[in-house]
Amino acid sequence: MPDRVRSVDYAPLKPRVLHILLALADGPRHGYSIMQEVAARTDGQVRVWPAALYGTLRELEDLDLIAESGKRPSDDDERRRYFGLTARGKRVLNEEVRRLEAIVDHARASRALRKERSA
Amino acid sequence: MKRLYSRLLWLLRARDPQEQQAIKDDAEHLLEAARTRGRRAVATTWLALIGDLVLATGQDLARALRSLMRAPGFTVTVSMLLGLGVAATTTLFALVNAVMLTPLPYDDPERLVMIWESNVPQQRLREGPSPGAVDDWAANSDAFDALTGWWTASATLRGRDGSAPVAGVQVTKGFFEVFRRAPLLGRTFAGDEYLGAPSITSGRAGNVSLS
Repeated sequence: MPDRVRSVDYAPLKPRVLHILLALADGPRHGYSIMQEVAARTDGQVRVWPAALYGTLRELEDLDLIAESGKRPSDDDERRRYFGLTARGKRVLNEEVRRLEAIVDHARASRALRKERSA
Repeated sequence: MKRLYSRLLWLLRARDPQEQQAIKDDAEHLLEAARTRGRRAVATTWLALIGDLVLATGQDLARALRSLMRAPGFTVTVSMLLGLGVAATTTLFALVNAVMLTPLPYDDPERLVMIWESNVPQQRLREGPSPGAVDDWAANSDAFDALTGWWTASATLRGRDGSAPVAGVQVTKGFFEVFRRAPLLGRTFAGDEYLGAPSITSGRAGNVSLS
């Protein structure tokens, strides 16, 4: 896999993928914790359910965007698998956030949208 | 409902057991959390979990199809091999079914045997006996409940509009009684209609059986 990440290879990320990567941005988490984090970050508007979550985690592992992490609390259930962002995953997440920022900036600059917001 | 969820997990059997267990554990945690929020939360969580399983199954199928499309040569080869395998298995089963599994279409087929005549000194083995020999065996042997013989025959059926070849068999006395079969149309031979030199009933008796 080439080391240089091109945003066109991954962008636009599916909303579910973006939320999972964002949930892992602050450090490794296990599956249930990712579900809770996504729900908390989006105020319950986005929910990721177990079967879809683990299918997506496997895909992201295959793409080398996340990897299973050895870091875990010592008193945690041994069956739980922790996942963290890889260097590639961090770069792809950054690229996607920048892409979204550009869209939001463009939207904010739109006259029609400004009128709507001020009304 | 837990049992239903476990059964529905069968849909995701392509995934490894560790992943299936993780899905089940997390579903239980979600339900536990929903129980603290009341019955309605439990019901909506159940619905969401089942919907999630069904959607994930569709996604697994789509992923499998995409990976097959990415390797058309492999897909075509495997499909052809599978087709050949299925065809060979079907043919073999049809043969085994017809020869070994399906019983003969007669009453008590296990009591039916075929017998031949052999002349060992002349190296003539398993030949069809003559009608006279069959009659003699039937009259003098008490090893069997009944004995009958048949020979394939062909004839030409002539009518006003022309003629047509007809395939049939010539039989000795007791044929229909041995096989316990009724004709599709009409009747079988009456006792004396079997008689006649050399005891073969045929068109001469004016009797035709359709079967």
